[in-house]
Amino acid sequence: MSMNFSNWIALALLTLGMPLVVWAEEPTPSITSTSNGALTFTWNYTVTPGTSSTPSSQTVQFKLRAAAGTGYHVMAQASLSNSLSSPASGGDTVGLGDIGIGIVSLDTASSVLTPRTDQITYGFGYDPGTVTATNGLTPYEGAGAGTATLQDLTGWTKVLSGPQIASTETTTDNTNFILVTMRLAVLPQYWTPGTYTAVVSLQILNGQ
Amino acid sequence: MKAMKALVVIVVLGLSANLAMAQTTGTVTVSGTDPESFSITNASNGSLSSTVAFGNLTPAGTSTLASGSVTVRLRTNKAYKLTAQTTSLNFVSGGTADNGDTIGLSDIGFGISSVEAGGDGANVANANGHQIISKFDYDPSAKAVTNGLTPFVAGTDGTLNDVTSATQVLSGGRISKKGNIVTDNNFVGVTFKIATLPQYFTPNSSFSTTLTLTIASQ
Repeated sequence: MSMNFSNWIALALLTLGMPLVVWAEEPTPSITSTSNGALTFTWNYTVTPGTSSTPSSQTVQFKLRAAAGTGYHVMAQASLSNSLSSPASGGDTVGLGDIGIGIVSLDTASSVLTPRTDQITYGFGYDPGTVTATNGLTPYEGAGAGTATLQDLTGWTKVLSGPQIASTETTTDNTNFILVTMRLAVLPQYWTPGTYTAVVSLQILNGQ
Repeated sequence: MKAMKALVVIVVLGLSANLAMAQTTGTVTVSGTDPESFSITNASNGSLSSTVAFGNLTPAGTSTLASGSVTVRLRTNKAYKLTAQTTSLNFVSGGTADNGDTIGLSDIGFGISSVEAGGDGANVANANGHQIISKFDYDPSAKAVTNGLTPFVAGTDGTLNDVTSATQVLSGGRISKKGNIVTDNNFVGVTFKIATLPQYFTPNSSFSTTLTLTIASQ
């Protein structure tokens, strides 16, 4: 067992016979990129309508670490802004409900505590890139119907939770995390011309 | 030492060395462009490559024009214009004119007989308001024939001779609300009619011309 600076100070004080009151902060979970840095992922995509019934998709992976005995949960929130270059003229503009989002898989590193009982919130446990479109229209019906979209994240929403992941949460440790594979997808359509930006914010917190 | 022992030392130790560096949030951004999109397809949503075959144009004692039609589907996410351009007539085994006339582009009427919302039109942004250039706003096959001669009046009734250069024939507002090229109710169907009256034109074994339609932003 290794000791950090704080541990050495505590040991010295106890050796001197000094009363010691120790206030232990609850471990702080983390959500990082696959390279253990800050998670900032961007999918830049030109939505040109075609004949396909399969949405275009993009995969993003991130690592979760949580050592609190109370477990963890991941919250998500989404927003979308448009900058139109032509008037809508009675047509539709791409919206949050047109972008599907789902968690495709959870993979555990070697030191992760098992057995696992992680729970993906209903509607978010699917692959939006494999949903077949009918009549060239958005194939997602929302989390309530099992196919979540960013529209389901207009407020902070729990998308994943589970028990303690590992005994440590050091981000330099390559054995103590859950690798989350999330997929975003959209079926290109004749939406109003312009640019769009959707931001999905993710947050990990202690407790399930 | 006693004094030290009497001293109550309260040491608050943060046992989590990573606390200050913990990364508890992240962002995923989806950004991009909805480009201006225009398409023209056949009635099966495929590439438009259609042939109107008049067959043998044998003069007869009737006033019936030989005709054919082509229906195309237009989809756009903004206001559009449609242009047409035809090539010169190409003859195979053309005979000698010998002071007679040879069929020309002005003998072949060209018009738009209908512009209609496709399917139930539920995903058509603007079913109405599509403007056909007046000379092309007719059905050339329905033109009354007088004295067995070409019935199309120059400047009034559109013919292929009016589209020897890229010429606007139709325009309108945004067509598609959403959907893609296989959506069955986000397009307008445009029916073009082409007609000619069989006459004693100079013989040939065949003639042809290629009409190119182009859709673009207004």
